[in-house]
Amino acid sequence: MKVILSGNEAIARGAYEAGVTVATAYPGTPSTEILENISTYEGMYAAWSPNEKVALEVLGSMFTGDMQHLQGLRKRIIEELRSEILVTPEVELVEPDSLPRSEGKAVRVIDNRKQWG
Amino acid sequence: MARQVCIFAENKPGRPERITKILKEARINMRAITIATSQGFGIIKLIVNDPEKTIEVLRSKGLTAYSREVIAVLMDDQPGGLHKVAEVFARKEINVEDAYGFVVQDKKRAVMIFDVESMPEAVNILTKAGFVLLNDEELYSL
Repeated sequence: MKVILSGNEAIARGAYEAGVTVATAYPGTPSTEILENISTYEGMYAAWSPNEKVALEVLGSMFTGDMQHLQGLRKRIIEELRSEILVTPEVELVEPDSLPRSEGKAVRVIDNRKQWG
Repeated sequence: MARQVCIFAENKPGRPERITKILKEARINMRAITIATSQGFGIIKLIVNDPEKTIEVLRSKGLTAYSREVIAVLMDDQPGGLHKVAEVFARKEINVEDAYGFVVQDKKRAVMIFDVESMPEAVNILTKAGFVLLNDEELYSL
């Protein structure tokens, strides 16, 4: 039987046929539909990864030594980000110049998790 | 009114060492210190002998520091000393955001540092109630 699939639908289908049982993703255009589709297959577990971590450098001009102010600032950032990206981020306040400056290059990420099963 | 130096730091080992080293090298002496932490970060509050210089030195080393006005109340160093002040706060419904204290060498007096919501109002109330409020010079010369 011939079915026309979008790229995202095809990826989900391919994962299903290859025997993938667990999939997690962070939502974002253009790949959001992959996980959405995976969740429709029997025997496949799909979950959004809510662990987007955001670090905010506390610059001199923001700091007045007020604990409540910083806590409130952090909460507001969480709220504003959440309404934009649809998942609840973890927000950390860090010292100035502690965040690495982006070099604009691709970063190699190595997955050290143990294999499922 | 007195001033307090506030420093922002991540809640990680080594921060107090780094800060106290900077102060040591700048020959700054502390009268009192308190640290409050929350959600992975902390605020270190200091009463020092030269707040302006302290802020300058800390900022030159890349630290986030701020000089904040606080009320320094002189009290008797005996049971009930702090209660006298607290009682006024309660009666006049002054809300305390932060407070910490230290004793004076002569064993007769103590100082309580208060950070309150409405500074001018609190200063007015405490002065009317007969309390001695210390300014920067008086605080550091104790």
